[in-house]
Amino acid sequence: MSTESTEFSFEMRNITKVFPGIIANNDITFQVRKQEVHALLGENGAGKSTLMSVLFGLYQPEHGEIIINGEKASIRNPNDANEYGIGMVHQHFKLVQNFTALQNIVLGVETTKNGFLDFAPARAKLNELTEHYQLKVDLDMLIEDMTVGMQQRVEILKMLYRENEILIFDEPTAVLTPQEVEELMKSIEGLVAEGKSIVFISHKLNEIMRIANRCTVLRSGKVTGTVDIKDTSKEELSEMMVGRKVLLAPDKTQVKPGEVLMSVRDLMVKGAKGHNDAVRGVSFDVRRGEILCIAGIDGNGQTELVYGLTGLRKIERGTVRFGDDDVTQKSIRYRNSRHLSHIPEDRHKHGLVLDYDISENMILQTYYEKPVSTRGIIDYRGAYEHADELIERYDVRCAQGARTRAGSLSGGNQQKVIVAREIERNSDVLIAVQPTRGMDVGAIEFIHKQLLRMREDGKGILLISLELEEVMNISDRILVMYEGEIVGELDPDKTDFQELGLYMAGAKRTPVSAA
Amino acid sequence: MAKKIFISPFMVTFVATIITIIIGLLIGLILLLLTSGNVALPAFKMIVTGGFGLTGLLNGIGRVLYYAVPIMMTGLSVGFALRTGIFNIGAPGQFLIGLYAGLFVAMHFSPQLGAYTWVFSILAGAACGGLWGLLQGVLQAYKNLNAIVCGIMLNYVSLFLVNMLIRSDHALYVGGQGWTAPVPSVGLLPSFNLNQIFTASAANSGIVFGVIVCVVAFIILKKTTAGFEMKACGLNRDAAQYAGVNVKKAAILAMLLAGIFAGLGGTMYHNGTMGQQYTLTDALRPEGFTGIPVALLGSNHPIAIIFSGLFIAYLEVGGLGMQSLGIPSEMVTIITSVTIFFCSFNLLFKKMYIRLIGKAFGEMI
Ligand SMILES: Nc1ncnc2c1ncn2[C@@H]1O[C@H](COP(=O)(O)OP(=O)(O)OP(=O)(O)O)[C@@H](O)[C@H]1O
Ligand SMILES: [Mg+2]
Repeated sequence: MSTESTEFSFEMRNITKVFPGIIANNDITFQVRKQEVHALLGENGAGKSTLMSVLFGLYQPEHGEIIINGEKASIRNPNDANEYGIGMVHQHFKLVQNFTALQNIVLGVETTKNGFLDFAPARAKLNELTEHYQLKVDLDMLIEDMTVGMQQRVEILKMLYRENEILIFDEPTAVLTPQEVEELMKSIEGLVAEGKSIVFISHKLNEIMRIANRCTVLRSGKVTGTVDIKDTSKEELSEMMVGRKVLLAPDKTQVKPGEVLMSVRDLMVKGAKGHNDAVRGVSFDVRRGEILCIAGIDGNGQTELVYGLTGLRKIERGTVRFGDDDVTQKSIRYRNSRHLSHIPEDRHKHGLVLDYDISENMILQTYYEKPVSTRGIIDYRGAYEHADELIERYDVRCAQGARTRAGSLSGGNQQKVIVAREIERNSDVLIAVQPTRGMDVGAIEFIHKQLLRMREDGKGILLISLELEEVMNISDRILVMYEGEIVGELDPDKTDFQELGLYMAGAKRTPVSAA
Repeated sequence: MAKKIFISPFMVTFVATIITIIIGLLIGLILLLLTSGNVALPAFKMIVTGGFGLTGLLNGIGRVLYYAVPIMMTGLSVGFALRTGIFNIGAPGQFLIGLYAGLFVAMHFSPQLGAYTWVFSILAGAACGGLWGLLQGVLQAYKNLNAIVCGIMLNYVSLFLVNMLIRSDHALYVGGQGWTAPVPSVGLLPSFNLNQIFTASAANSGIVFGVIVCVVAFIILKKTTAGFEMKACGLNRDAAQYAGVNVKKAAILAMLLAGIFAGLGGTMYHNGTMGQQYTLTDALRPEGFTGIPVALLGSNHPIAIIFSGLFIAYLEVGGLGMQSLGIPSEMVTIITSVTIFFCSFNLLFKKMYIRLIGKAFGEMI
């Protein structure tokens, strides 16, 4: 076959990939045309990342073949994939934590001058790329100091830098703001126009409707079907995916907020490495029975605000109290055990010990208390039972029950483990940072219901989200954070995306009183 | 339809370890062929059979049991600390401090302690080794000293400290000949008749205590809240911190325990058999460093370390046997070290092995 005669950029035929206890990909055939954006949709754990990891050479399939430009390809590792012009933005970033963005991006394709590393050409090219694609990245910042959003942009930039022909985006938008998503969409259109083929994985149906030409839906490792986007709707897609109708906007009952649970006054927290003031004099209250949302573009101090509230970083000035308990100087353990649950922004950094199994992750904060342990001995049997129950209720898809290693779960299922743990700890206040990151529509619906139930039970929730739809749908009050300050308070019923956008961009601000 | 294979991670580790050992031995053979020409094959046989043919099987086993005790303990020390994410290069120092403390108690207090002297020697060795580990732990945690640098420096501090203490102690240092007086018999670990069962060897109850200590370490890691904390710190420090674990405290506790294990090794080695005399030198004893390959070969697992300790002792005994073939002792040391060195590459081979058999595995391990 000649290279010209085939309509497909690449084909994956009858791919089967087995993991211990589970068939992640079951006889999947997946064909992507030239100059096409092909969306891959499916529930958490359906096998999307696995399929793309097979294409990228990270996994070897038990069965099936890969055909690129009409010729059978053998891809044994990511280097082979690179040779074939395949690039991938990983759902869980593969970045070296103590390297800068620049070092990460050029890693493996370094330019040298007289045998020494020469970053100048790379830097010039990257400046061009960030300009062109509107990706805000500090090239000289260490990955470990970055917000998850910026890491996502580095990961995207890293692929764009390599000039591949086949581009795989595995949930690139899970932590991007709407504006960034729009820029990314434009970039993808540009790439397609240049002749590239794109695989786009996302749980956000709007994005798929907006950008894709066709969409393949997976369920439990099998293909449910491939549809043309112009002949389908969001509702049909979500039904194909979960096998039932999904409520895209949850019902919200009226709850009258009660007394103040958490009160923050004039809070100041430093940024990474203490260079700057990331949070500058923030004050607000969280009351019983309310979901207070902090909206804002990534990197405006939300991460540091949460670090300050939870005790992960020292508070420079101001106070945090729960009722009349001033915890400003108290340890993480103190806050954790008395008042606070916390769904962290970065599930791999803080949320999970990937090499622990689900049951161990479920007792991550409570392992030392009764009933999980007595006199220093952990009751693992009890922990297994507890975990099995939560797995059941939160529908965590796992191959080996409570003993499944957290690291082997799909991204959305890892998130479910964290959310289940934090909600079930039943603290008075829940700080939820991007709680539904990477979850499928069905799971999001469920988690939103849980959050609303907590609110009805008289808990207070501080929601930090980039997801404007989520913000509008479930919060009772919105505070907008811009450059470390609260610049406005909005009522989700009386505002719209546009006004919110203006506040978030710093174009509008109104004075806010704390109480 | 896809075949469903399930092989436990344990099996993978086990098979990888065996493959590693074979490769390590083959490299030893190549070295022998290159250096020792005509005696290479008999010498290799000596390594492989652990020198058992030389003095009889039972005696051979006894010697292995004797040599295994100190390296099992230092291996446990290194492996345990690694589970918490700390590379305890300070094990030789802790070993030496433990050795000295046990010796000190035996020499000075045997009249008062009588038949229980050996018990107190062991306790003193554990306590002082532990304190030495604790010191390193505190320096690392609160003064932010690099663990490697800190450990290496403390090793030398312990070496010269012990030399100094011995020199100024007339009960220990006899006649300025460069070594200490032998441990009085009440200071010796009971033999449990092992020296008789394994004819005329130095085997003693140390091996029994060593195994017990490994099992205790295993239980600490497996069942206790402290173990849960330490493992969490080793696997993901940020998550441990997020969960409210005091990561500094956990690291210090781990170093305390690691020090206790190494210190026990020192005492049980020196008070293990009759006639041991510590020679004052400017070099650290090798048992401490051998702990590193023992830990690696045992994948830092306390129970596996029992076996890797025995195995490396077996190689050492075989190595000693090679001297009878006229291979110079330096060469013997080099060959056994290289073999041991390659035997501890099991992590590398684990990956290769997974590739080999393991389409089904992915990155499971
Ligand atoms: N390395 C692994 N070892 C064992 N099982 C794995 C591994 N990677 C994935 N799995 C299992 O394979 C299944 C498919 O996972 P995959 O990551 O492909 O899902 P996904 O469709 O990308 O889901 P998500 O939307 O949550 O990212 C899951 O059940 C997961 O538990
Ligand atoms: Mg995925």
